[in-house]
Order: sequence, then C-alpha cells, then structure tokens
Amino acid sequence: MALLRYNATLLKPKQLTVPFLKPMLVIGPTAYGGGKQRGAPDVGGWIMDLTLDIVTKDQELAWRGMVTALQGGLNSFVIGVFDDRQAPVQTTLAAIDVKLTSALAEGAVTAAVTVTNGAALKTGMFFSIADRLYQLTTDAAPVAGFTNRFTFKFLPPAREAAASAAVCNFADPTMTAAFADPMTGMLKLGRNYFGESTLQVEEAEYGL
Amino acid sequence: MDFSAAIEAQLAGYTVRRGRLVWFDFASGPIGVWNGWRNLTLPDGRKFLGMRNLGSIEGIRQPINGATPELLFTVTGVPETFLAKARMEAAEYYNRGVWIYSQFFDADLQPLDSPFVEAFGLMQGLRAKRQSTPEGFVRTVTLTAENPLATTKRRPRNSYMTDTDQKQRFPGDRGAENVAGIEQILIRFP
Repeated sequence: MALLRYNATLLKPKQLTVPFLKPMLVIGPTAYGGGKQRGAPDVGGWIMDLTLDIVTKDQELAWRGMVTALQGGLNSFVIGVFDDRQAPVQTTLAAIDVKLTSALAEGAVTAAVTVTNGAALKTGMFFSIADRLYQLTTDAAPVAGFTNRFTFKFLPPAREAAASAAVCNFADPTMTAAFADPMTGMLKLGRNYFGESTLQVEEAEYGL
Repeated sequence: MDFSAAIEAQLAGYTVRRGRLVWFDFASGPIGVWNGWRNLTLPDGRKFLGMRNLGSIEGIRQPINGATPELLFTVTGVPETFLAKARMEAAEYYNRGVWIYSQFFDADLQPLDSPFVEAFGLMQGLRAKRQSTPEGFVRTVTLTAENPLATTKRRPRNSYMTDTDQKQRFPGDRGAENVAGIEQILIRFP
C-alpha cells in the first residue's frame, strides 16, 4: 500500500527545525590524561520539527485528515524537508536530474552520480532515494574524464540498496517518517477559525 | 583475545565505533538484532535488525569463583515477529543458543573485520509484557539465558582435593597431606 504523502503545497511550515541526524553517542569517563573516549554503534536517524498556521478551510481539512490517518505514528508517511533554498541551482530551464552512475549497496556511504541541468552538489545538501533521506558530507568531486559525473560521501549509510540509474532527488528530497510523539499534530483553533499546530517527526523504518 | 591492528588502534584512540549484535537461534528461524539504527547485513549474509538502542543486555561479565551470571536480554518496542516468537511454545527457544557479538566499524561505518563472540548462552525463559504509558502501550520482551556450563553447578563433584583422593589418583603422592586444617596452620615470618 502506498504511503500517505504530506501535502507540502497546502501545508507550508512557518517554522522548521531542519532535519537533524540524532546521534547515538556514548561518552566515556574522563581518563587520567584528561581524554574522554566517545563511541557509537551507528550514526542515528533523522528527526524534524515543523510549526505551521492552519488558516483556510482546505488547510484545516487536510491537516485533520492527515493526523487522523497517521494514528499517532502507527502509520508512516512521506514528507518533504522544505529545503528549496539549499537545493542545487538549476543551470538550464529543465529540471535538475541526478542519477546514480553505479548501484548503491545497503550501508554504503559513498555514491557516484551523473548530474544533468544542475550546478555543483555541496556539503550539507539533502537528497533522497526512494523516499529515504540522506545528506552530503563532502562536496561532490568530479570524476576524471567526465564533465557531469561526480562522487560524494553522505550520511546516514544507505538504508537500502539502489540500482544503477536510480533517481537521486535533490530538488525536493523526501523522508519516510512517523510521528515521534503520539500526541503530535493536535490542533487548537482560535474562535473555531484558525490555529497553529506542530509536528515532531522521526525517520521511520517502514519497508526496511 | 587478539584484536587486529585496526581495532587495537581504534580502541586506543578517541573514537570507537562498535555495535553489539545478538543472534537468537529460535527453532522456527534465527533472528538477529543489534543496537544500531539501520539494518546490518554481514559479509556472511546474516542480517541484524536495528533496534535503535531500544534493547539492553545484562550479565555479560567475567565469571568469578565459578559463578556463571545469567544473561538478561530486554528489548522494548519489539517488532511483531519477535513478539510472536516470544508467545510461542517453549520448544521455540528453550535451551537454544543465543550469541552476543561485538562488531567494530571503520570511519565509513563499514564492518571492520568479522564480529567476535562476547558471550554465548542457552535460552531459558522468555516473557512478554505490555505496559501502559502516557504515550500508549509499550511492549517489552525479556529473555533469560544461562551459560551452558551452569548446569554443572547442580552436578555432584567427581573428586575433591583431599589427601585420600590425591593418593588414589597418584599413589604415594604427599602433595595434599596438609590440605586438611590448612586454615589453622600458623606460619611465622621470618
């Protein structure tokens, strides 16, 4: 069954906590030399908070329907990260097109891509493959002998394998998520007319 | 235990990337879990589901004085398949093996060397619990396992370190003649 997709056209956040990779760090005691060892089994998962105004009737209906359908986080959904400002610049009128040059193994942290109609891919940019969100941790480096092939490192490690030529969505990256808190999404209306609500979401392992 | 040079360097350094993997050999099929976020597939093909630090393991420590501590696995917010196995007959888990591994990772979060076994036990008891919290119900599964040598605690000893036993083993040997009453022997220094 296809997952519900967040209506980003109708429900734009007025405040956003950018997707953050919540770490799984363990910090050890301080040694005699003053050092502290730090350890972690993995890099963690994404969390994101957004706050938005619900003003129009359509917004209210869309919001209420979505929150009820997701049942406090029981069901997962797909949500964008509202990162238009940081997306790669389009170099032509055509849309940015980024595809994997070679297959990506589950757990990989390096990708090779072919970029068409887009400017440089930079550290910090988000992208998604099959609605799994990732972030560049290095600038894309050109592959010798090619004008539009690049490699870069990213995190978190690939949640699932992807075939060669799979689309890397840089223009509107998305995340498979679920409510982090079952009580998130409650809507209080002022004078039964308008209100403000919040969403705390975390990356979901649906389909993995 | 001999670690590889890469792991030794990591252990001596500032940053350690290590996860704990648990392999439950249930009768209907093994399940692997680990405390990382993502699912982990090892080069040998075994898959470990990421528990996102929702589980805990107690009892992994060096036995002292012949005591074998009980291993206790507590997993909260378990997947449906794990809970289903928890509710099945004892034949599903009783006296079947559970292995605890350590797996180190390199700077690119790729497995570094093969995982090594930290502990091994035989599953004994498994119980599931559902607890009401302000955020809803939380399922917890607790599984106990014992060291396979634990059963020897209940077996009578074959022999003792007494003069009689020692002379039966090695006729004429006087090595154990002073064992009886040794606690009362007074030795003066110098």
